[in-house]
Amino acid sequence: MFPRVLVANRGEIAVRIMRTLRDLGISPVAVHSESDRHALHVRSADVSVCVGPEPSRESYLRGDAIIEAAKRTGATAIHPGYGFLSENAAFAQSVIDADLTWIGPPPSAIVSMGDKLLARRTVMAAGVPIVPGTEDPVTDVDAAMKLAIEIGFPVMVKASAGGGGKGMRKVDSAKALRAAIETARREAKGAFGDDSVYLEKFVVGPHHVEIQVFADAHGGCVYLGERECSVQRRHQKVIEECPSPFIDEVLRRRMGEVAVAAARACNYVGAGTCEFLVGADRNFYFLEMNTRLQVEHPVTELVYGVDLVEWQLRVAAGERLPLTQAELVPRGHALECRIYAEDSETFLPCPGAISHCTFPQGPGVRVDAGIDGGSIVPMAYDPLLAKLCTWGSDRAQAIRRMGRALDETVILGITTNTALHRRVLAHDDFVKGLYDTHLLESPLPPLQTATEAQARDAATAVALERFLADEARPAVGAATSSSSASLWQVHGRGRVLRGG
Amino acid sequence: MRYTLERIVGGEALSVEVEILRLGPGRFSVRHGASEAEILDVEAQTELMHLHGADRSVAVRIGARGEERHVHLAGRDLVFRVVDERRRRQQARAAGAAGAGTSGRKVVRSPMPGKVVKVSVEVGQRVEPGQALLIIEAMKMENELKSPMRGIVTEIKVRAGETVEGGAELLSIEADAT
Repeated sequence: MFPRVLVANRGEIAVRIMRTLRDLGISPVAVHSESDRHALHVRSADVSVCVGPEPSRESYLRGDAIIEAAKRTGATAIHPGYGFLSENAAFAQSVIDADLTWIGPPPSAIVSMGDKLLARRTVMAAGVPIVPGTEDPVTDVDAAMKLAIEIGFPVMVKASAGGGGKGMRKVDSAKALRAAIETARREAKGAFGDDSVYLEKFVVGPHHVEIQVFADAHGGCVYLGERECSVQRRHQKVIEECPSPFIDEVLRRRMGEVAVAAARACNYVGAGTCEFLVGADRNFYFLEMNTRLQVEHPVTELVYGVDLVEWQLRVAAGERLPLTQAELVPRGHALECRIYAEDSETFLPCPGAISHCTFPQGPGVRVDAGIDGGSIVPMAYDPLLAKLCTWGSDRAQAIRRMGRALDETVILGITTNTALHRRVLAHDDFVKGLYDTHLLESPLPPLQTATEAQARDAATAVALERFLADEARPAVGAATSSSSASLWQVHGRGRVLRGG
Repeated sequence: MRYTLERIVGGEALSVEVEILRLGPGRFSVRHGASEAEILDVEAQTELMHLHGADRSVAVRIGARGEERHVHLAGRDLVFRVVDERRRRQQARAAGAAGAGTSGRKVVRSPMPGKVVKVSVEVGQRVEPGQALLIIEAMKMENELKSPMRGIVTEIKVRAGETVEGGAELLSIEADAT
């Protein structure tokens, strides 16, 4: 197929793509920024090329440097992962112009789906239902006010070039509209280099459901069921599942066929995802099409028994889709918990050095991680550290296995959101499968606390740590030192320095 | 040696007393509060402590986060602080010396490392609880910091575009008596 493929990304997705490359006997090539030179994705590749300093704009977004790296290392194809340059049509075109294979959809499809306004027009022409909103980017705040009143509050302000909650704001009243537009524009400018925003009706009580589609260059196009992505914080997904507890077989087929129609409308090739809002009345509206692999693609892989990255490579090499629609039969249930470097309560990010890391194992568990013990989590990039996935023969088993997987997960040195996952998993509405995108706005059940015996052992260990540090410290120093750093802390720092 | 620990649970600090005596190499007597002492064989590694009692073995992971100790055992996460008696006395003295004058002053610190995108207030400005003070961007998200109280901004230590560490002082607010 390809002897060597460059992965133009970092973190868990770069590592995950390289695993499939290895499975296929393909040599993986990494690129990295100066602050990522010890990152796991670099160590997972056969060779890695430094493409610039820490800021993404000067490294992971430097298309020219990445193409140059592919040429220099003998890679004949580039996989962009998600984020960064994955939905940049100009980059896709320059990859093709450099006689390399672009593992993604044709640049023309990225153009028609990448711009959300253009995407709405394209799919509307194919008969796909959309959410009411502004046709054109909003430039004049006063004009926006008029339109918002027409659509009816609450409305959403969204970045035309956006995704993942960046440059996106819900506005409840005319009073808050001006500030929301300003913030959304600034975030959009910083994240995507394009500050155009548009307005959209806010559907009350909605589900965020997406359909995985896959097309080859020979006219084949299939859907691989849905992913329920309604567990969100600040419009960023936290837990996903496949299948959705809300979608029945009839609705699945209808949405699947609409998604295939949307893909065909832009002559799509490769892996794509159509995102929909589904109301409580089961009306569904097309939101956008992501012209790349999704973060949460593993739940689809677990339920449909496929490797979507392998499909991407085969389709990019000109092969036909490995399976037909009739052969794609879902089996069991899968969940994904996104482990973020952020506080469970405040959602504030927490970059830093990971001193220790243990991931879960055993039946029905899959972990896609971009970090290991000793990794540094830089401030400059996305806070996603790892994805814990579990599969069960039914939803209840998948949830129980996720509970166990979270218990086995230990990440020390930085704060992660595992406590949030535990609390969502204990939430009655989640357990019953009766929830929408507002789940995290309602109070969550309290975290199951440690037993008295566990708390005692934990206290014993902490006191012993201090006791041993005090013993090891010279007696005079102990009396005068104002430092409370333990020996372990000193050891820990030493290791980080050696590692970094 | 007797240690006072604080276990942090949901923002509250529970005080715990632990007394440790060394009995020999790797062997300790540990007593919690007034309970009976337990004899433990201990293997200490970096960030990992194995405790072996009469009929049990426990592995405890300990990560350091500044003054805090983040502990993981058997799928549970706990947070402790070791109370430094000497320092507590010093702090109590310092607070006493400063008197009530500084009690109405609040230093707003950055909850994480990041970049100051916008400073929304000026020195001398009156602020209400919940009013936006500044915006810090980290990991590609903008986070708005809000005023914890009613008062007057007395000092601003950062400017837009500046990179700050977690815990860095950003600005001070003096409680408004009127």
